[in-house]
Amino acid sequence: MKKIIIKKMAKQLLVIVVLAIAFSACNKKIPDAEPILFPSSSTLTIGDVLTSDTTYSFFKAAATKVGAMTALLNASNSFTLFLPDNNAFKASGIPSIQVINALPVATVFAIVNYHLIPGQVLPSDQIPTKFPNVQLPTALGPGSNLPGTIIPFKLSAFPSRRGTDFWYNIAPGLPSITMFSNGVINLVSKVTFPPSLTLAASSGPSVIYSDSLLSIFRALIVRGDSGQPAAARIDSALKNPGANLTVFAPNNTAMKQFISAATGGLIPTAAPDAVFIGFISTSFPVLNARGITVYHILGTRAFSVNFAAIPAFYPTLFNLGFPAHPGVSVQSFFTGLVVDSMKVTGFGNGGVAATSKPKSNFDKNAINGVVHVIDRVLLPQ
Amino acid sequence: MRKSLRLVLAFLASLSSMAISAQISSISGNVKNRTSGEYIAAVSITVKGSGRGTFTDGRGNFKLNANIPVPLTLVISSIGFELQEVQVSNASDFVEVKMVPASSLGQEVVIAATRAPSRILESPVTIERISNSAIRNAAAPSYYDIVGNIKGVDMVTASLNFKTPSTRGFNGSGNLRLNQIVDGMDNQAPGLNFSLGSVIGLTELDIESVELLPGASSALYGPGGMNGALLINSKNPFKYKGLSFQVKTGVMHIDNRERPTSPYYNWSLRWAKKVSEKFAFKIGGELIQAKDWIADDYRNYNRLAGKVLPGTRATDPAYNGINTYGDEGAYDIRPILNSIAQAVPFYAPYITGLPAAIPVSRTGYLEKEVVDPNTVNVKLSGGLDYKITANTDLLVSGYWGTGNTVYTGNDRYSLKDLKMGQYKIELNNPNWFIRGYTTQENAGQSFSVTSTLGYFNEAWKRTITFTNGVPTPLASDWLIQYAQSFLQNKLGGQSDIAAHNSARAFADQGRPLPGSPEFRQIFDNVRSTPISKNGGLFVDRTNLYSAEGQYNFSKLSSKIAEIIIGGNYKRYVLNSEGTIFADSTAKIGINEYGAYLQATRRFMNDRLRLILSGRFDKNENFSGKFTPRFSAVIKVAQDNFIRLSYQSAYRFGSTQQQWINLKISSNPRLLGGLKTFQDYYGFNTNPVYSVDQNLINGKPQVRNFNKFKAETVNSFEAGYKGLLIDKKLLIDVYGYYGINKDFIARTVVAQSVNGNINVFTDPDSNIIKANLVDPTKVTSYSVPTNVDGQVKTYGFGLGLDYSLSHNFNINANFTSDKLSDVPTGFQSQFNAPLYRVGASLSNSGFGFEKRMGFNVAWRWQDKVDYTGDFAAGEIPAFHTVDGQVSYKFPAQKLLLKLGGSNILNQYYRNGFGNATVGGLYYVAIGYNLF
Repeated sequence: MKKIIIKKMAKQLLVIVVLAIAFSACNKKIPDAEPILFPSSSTLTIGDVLTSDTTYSFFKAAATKVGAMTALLNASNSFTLFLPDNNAFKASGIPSIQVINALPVATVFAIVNYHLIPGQVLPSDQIPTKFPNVQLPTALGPGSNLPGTIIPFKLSAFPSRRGTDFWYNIAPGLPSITMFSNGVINLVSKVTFPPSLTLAASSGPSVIYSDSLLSIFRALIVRGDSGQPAAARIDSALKNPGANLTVFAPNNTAMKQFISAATGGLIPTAAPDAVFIGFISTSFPVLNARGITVYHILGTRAFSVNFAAIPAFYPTLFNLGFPAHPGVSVQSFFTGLVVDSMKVTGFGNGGVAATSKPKSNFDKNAINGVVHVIDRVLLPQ
Repeated sequence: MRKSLRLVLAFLASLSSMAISAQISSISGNVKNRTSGEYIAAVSITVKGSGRGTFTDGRGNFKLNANIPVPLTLVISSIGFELQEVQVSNASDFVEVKMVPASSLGQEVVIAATRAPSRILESPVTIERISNSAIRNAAAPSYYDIVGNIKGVDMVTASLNFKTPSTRGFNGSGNLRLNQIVDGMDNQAPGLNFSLGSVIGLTELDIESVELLPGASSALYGPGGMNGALLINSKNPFKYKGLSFQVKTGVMHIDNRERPTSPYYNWSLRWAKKVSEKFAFKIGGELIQAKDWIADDYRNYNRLAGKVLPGTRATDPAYNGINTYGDEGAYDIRPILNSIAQAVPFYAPYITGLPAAIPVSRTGYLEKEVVDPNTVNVKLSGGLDYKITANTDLLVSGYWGTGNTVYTGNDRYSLKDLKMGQYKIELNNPNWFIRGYTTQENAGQSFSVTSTLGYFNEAWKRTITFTNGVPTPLASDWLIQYAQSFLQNKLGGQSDIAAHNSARAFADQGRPLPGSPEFRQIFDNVRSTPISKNGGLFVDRTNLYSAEGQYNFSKLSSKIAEIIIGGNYKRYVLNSEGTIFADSTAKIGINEYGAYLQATRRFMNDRLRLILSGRFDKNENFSGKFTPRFSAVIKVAQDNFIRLSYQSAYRFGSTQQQWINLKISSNPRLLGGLKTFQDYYGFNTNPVYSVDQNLINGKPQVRNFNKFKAETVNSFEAGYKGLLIDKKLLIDVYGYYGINKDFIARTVVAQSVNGNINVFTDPDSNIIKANLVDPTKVTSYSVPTNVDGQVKTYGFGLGLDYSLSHNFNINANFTSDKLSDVPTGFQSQFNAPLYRVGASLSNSGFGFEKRMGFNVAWRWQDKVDYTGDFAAGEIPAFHTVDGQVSYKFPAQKLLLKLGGSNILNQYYRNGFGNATVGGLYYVAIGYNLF
């Protein structure tokens, strides 16, 4: 009898335990932290598409040559690549991969990295339309840091947009945006070569000071700086690699015509450059020299493509002293997305415009600005 | 003090000598269980009609010294046995009694419901009772765990040794709305504002019974009993005598989930001696030591919005883990980047293209890395009982405890070397009592984990250097390093999150690794520095002094009604040296007093009993409060009762809600609700604004505060309790409906540092969010206030207890609590599941000589939308099973038990941000357990 009871009890206990286990076994898992997902419209990286699409084989060859593919294949990176396709390379004087391979590594390195905006994703349709462009650091830098920091110094590029048209510096964009897991590719029709010189330099080459056709303008700059502290000198700004200026630089012919007229013909235009330089350095009124110099400089970098196709006034450094001054009138003449020539008119030029042509005379890109060589001195009043 | 002690001892000695000199005659005997033959301890032996009596010892023996001539009748009674009367005609005869086991269903006597003894069946309000035998047979490793298995009870486990029960909602760690009363003393730590029943209460072997009154109970037990009262009563040394001990050794963390498998020790001892018929004493001690459960919810949490967010340390730069510490503040690196853009214009457009606000948090530490894993609890207790007369006892008792544990309030607090003592002197008579007691609290080396880790991070590397309150960033500052590195990484082509993680790695260079000597040195230094001096330590030596008395006038007034009148006085003396309260210059006293009356009248030959109770209390910082209670008990049949009641309860703001002034890390400054704080911080001259969606939208709303009031609840309850099926089935069913008013809840407000509203009106909500956490722009406060409107609660419960044959007992219960009419935006902290179910099967004696026993208890609770000052979120539904098997060795008075709680090791949390509880398995051997 006792055994039966114990067996019965054991069965009851077993049922309870089994039921309890059955119920308890279905406890939900303790909730745990959920990582934030960063969804991408693509599972491919920029590097993947460079690898798979042969229309980009030139750039891929360049990137491979300089070891940039690793970064472009890394999904945890983020780039905006203004990508010149193979046709863009050809249009820029690089007809084949063999030519790329023959170029010095440093040159190719500069080309590849100058087309990359690191850490930001900027589809071409989101490039700001504000004049003149947006200054963005590229992946290309000299390898030095900003003083007192760990922040690297990087060369800037200047994407711009007007409506659906966009440019990378002056390279026209192509209507294609492709998003990838690590960034975006905006196609461009030309290779953009990075600048290597500053506008001015105390020694060594520079865009303005090394140009013998701009030597009189240089003298005007120096004359205008007379008596100014170093920080206020235009010369200092032109030498500062961190500056970002547009210089409408009158060539020596223009400067000679201006000085000759200003001296009532005492110095004929046929006189050697040195005569004009000497005159400016010793006799030209300092204030006038400074006023004219600053009237030739915009406080931002504007490439030819950034100016409108119709004449419009743009403030210059002259406006810092005379805010109400209308500035300088500029007009760019486009064929498609390419500028053929520019007209620049000073407020005091009586409606007679300076021109900048041919193409080799404008959009002379420097580390710290751009130079448009013009054939007339601009007068503010 | 020493002189006073000598006087007391001399007084006691003189009383003892008086006792010894009295003339006595003696009757001896022995009591056994007729079925099992084992001796029965603590059986009541009284001489019929005299009030004289004694109790059996651990071997069932008794010796009664009665000055009453034979023949006489002895009445022998014990819960679980049929009452017997034995005629004694010769005093020299040895009286042998064999008691017949009987069902105790519904027969237990409770006091809590009316402050007078009555059968639990006849209680006018819902009441639950845990007897010492239930504790003995329970599977749960501690009696507090058993409370958690009572129907309708929710438990929040802050840590192994810090568990907080509640009923009918408004649950939380250190719940303020449930009074815990140990031997008549309020067990709440007066400065820390949580009941310490599970830390510094009675030792398990000294518990005679635990009575739980769910729902409103202020009418008898004063302020605070909004959601019930838990009364824990110790064993009388005259009744429960001899040496008892229990050695419980177990194991936890068996799957190495968060911590390696570790032992659990619970050793307790009690010794009580009846020195004479007039004098007895008891001493006891308990030691619990284990590696604690860990709060390991590492989900991302938005403290301002009070909700869980997606994100981990690796995927959210502003990650703030619920149980990670030191990562609470979010600092916007945007201003630093903007200053770089200003200095380096050619990066300005690039920097502008980065997000408008880039909040980042310091790297925190996991709770298991910073909180002492050793949880220790030492309890010591002692009591003297001197019978001044046959019915009047002088009781002197003291309970002292210390330990390490973790508590969850508005933060996780590591209670380290916490000490609390309760000391009482009482004169007790069946008709009256008068008692005085004091609670002496010492927070020891306790510290706020958040504050400590916040300042720890500042100690090893400053986030931003401030000079005279003005930020003066240095290149070595963590945030500067982070911001520069972030920009560097972005310029290196990294995605935002990759740049953040690299920046963190850079700024974290030199971060002390948990457990390293450097970590320990800085950590110990910070945690032992007071909060007020940029550390984590809270100094608290707040004390409570209380006096109370009660008289039962029933003998005088029984023709009209049975009347009980009582009153009490409490004085809190806040003493935190400015680390918690606004008491940096002097201690703060708070006086509180109250009085109550209860009248009971029986009608229709005891078929109807009406009870009217009322209580008035006054706290010097609050208006006086009257709380009535009406209840009726209707006897519908023998052992079947219907109960109806209207009860009310209220709660004054706790001492912290009145006087706290505490800034923890980057959290809002906690203020008391008294107007003096609003004046001091200039709310009238520099307005504060509600931190809500309006503020985020740039439309700040000025927040004004009304006078701070007590919160109240009025509750209606109907219930039935009865014995059916030949008294084998006990049914208890109830339903209640409560209306809560003037809830005390904290609200967060923000104030511009410079009195400039612009910091709240920026069109970019991200800027406003960044300003809110920028201490140079905005100061935020957390202020307790009364919530407008009424909140309704209702629920029901059903409990079934069935006594099967052969000592089997089966129990099942089903309860529900619900909250409704919650005002928009109000964080109720209701924290009760809509449904909970419990069931158990037990046997108190089967097998060989009925020596074996077992108990299996299963519990399930629904999911809970949990809100607390520390964190808020959903607790998933969970099941858990406790179980034990036991074997008795009657001759040796030993009980061997093998058991465990959560025996299936299914981890669960019953409080958001609190510990994750796993299985605990033990083997226990007990001697002379009764």
